[in-house]
Amino acid sequence: MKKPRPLQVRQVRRYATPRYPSHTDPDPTRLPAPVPFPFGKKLLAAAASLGLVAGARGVGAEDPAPAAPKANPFTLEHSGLPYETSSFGTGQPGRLSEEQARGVIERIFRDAGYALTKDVRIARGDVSFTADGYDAEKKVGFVWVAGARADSDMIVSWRKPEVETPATDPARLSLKEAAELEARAVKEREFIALISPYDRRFEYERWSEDLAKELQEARQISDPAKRAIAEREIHEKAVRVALTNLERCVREYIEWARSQGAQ
Amino acid sequence: MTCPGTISAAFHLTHDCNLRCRYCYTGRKFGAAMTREVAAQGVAFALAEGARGAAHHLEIIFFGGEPLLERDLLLEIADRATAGAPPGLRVSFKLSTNGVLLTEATLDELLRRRVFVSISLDGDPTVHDEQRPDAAGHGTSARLAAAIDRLLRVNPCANVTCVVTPATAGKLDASVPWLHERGFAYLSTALDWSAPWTAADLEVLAGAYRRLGDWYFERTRAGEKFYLSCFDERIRTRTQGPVGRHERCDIGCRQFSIAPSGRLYPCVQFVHEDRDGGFLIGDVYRGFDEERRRALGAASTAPRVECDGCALQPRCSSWCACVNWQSAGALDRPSALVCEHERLLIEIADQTANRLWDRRDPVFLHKQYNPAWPVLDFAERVWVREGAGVREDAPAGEKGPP
Repeated sequence: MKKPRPLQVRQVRRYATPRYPSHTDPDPTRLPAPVPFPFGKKLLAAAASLGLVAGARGVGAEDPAPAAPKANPFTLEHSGLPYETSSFGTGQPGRLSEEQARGVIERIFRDAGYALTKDVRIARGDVSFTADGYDAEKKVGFVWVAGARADSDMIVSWRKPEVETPATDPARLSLKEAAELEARAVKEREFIALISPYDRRFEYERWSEDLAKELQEARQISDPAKRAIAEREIHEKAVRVALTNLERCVREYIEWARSQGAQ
Repeated sequence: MTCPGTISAAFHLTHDCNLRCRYCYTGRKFGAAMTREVAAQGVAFALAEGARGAAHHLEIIFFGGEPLLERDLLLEIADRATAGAPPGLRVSFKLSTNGVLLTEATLDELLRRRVFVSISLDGDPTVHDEQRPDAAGHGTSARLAAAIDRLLRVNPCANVTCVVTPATAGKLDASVPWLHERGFAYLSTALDWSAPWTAADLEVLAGAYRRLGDWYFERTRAGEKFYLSCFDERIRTRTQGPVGRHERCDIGCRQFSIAPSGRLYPCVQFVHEDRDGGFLIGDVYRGFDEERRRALGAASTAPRVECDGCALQPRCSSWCACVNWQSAGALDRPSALVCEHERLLIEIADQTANRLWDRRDPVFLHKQYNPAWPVLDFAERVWVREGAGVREDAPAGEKGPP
């Protein structure tokens, strides 16, 4: 007779990511389009009047009024470029890594129906750079303006801010090219989002009273293991907020691009 | 030690019980009830703990034995706690009962004090009577029928807890639908962690969970709104993130139990017959033994090195020291039973959720991702009553349950 298998603790090394959205993904009840609330209209009206739900649509509700015209959320103005370096390293906010950002950006473009090819050289007259992801058929893509993609004039040294470092690399995006790209997007119907880690909307743990208070409370925890857990949770929460902001902006960019004629 | 947020204080009103459930972890049943003096001191202690920890919410849970055997004491504790709560501290009440003593009059008194009632029912009468006989060995399901109707009439959101044992694992997919059809919309399932589960038993349970997953899918697609803990809690670890440190009971810190004697324990699981000094962490007169409390807390939150590298670790409930202790006898090590159970259940829950996501089912989406869901669900059940098969405020095209 076969011996019964003993129960055992065993790690799951590989687990297929579930398809349904996680807490770091955009709210699927609102994006890409609001999902009707599965409650009656009277209840929703009462709940809305109490501020429990904002703009809720019940099943069978009429379409809402048209939304306000969209704007490009990834302009140079938002980008934080050129980035001026600091003379000190402490107190700097956290910034999303390229890996973190690309994971989000590529997924949203993919969900929106774009097939992005990586590392595509773009040459349009006097604008020449490498896009991180580009759908040549639909002329939509993005560039993560940092590191290998950003030309020298994108960074200003704190030592000599008055000195302009000239752009030198045709494979990298310069300030002038970025401005040109932004200006020509609608006319050329080519939409390449300029996404920068220096965009303040995607920074996290920038000093604030609330953050200082949270960290202070965590540091009061005497048990080192619990303190580490508390501090990690504060950090992870902050990163999640930054990623959520990035997701929202990428979706807004796609909506804007489509409103301007993108496929 | 300070424990902000919510503090839960379980008052074990008596060791006695009118039932003899086969899996009960509270030990022998004997008539040692909490005295009024201990109860009064316990209330003062719990309120003081709330104030000391700067908590905004004190949750008082009535437990036992069967707490309704000390009905008058229960009501007195509720009144005392309500009257004595300082400004800024909200006090709420929960009762965990077998329901046999839930008369109309008792329910009225509980309702007046806003005591949320959770009833224990293991499924259809065959299953229930086998697992939960009274002291004379007779089934109790017939006596519960009227109590269930009464309870659901006054609170359609009442919770039912269904305990699963190796003997009944294969019937879980019949028990849950039976409870749902009976009228319960908030269904909790709990394994008897102390039972000698085998791999074969878990295979049977997995089969039941899969069939239950089909039921969950079909009922959700039919527009029905309900909460089923075994699936919804696992899905939640993905849709709302892993259970945060602040949400865990933090054994002995955010949650503690007051035995009928007034002695303090870190969780209901440890009170037993109130003889085990190993988990005693103080009493309501002298307060907490902070050193012991800290030691238990450290043991319960010690890193589970056996789990390092597991892809499911953020979603697994092996953080619950009490469950680990019940099934494997250790606070600080993951239990093989818990591990095997979580591995099989998380996968089945995810498969079910994937199916609903693929269809972008609105009930699934709002239940899992809309923070207003619990309030709206409660409001619909309480304010919008069902007529003869047709809801007054039915969404367009919907007539009510098939």
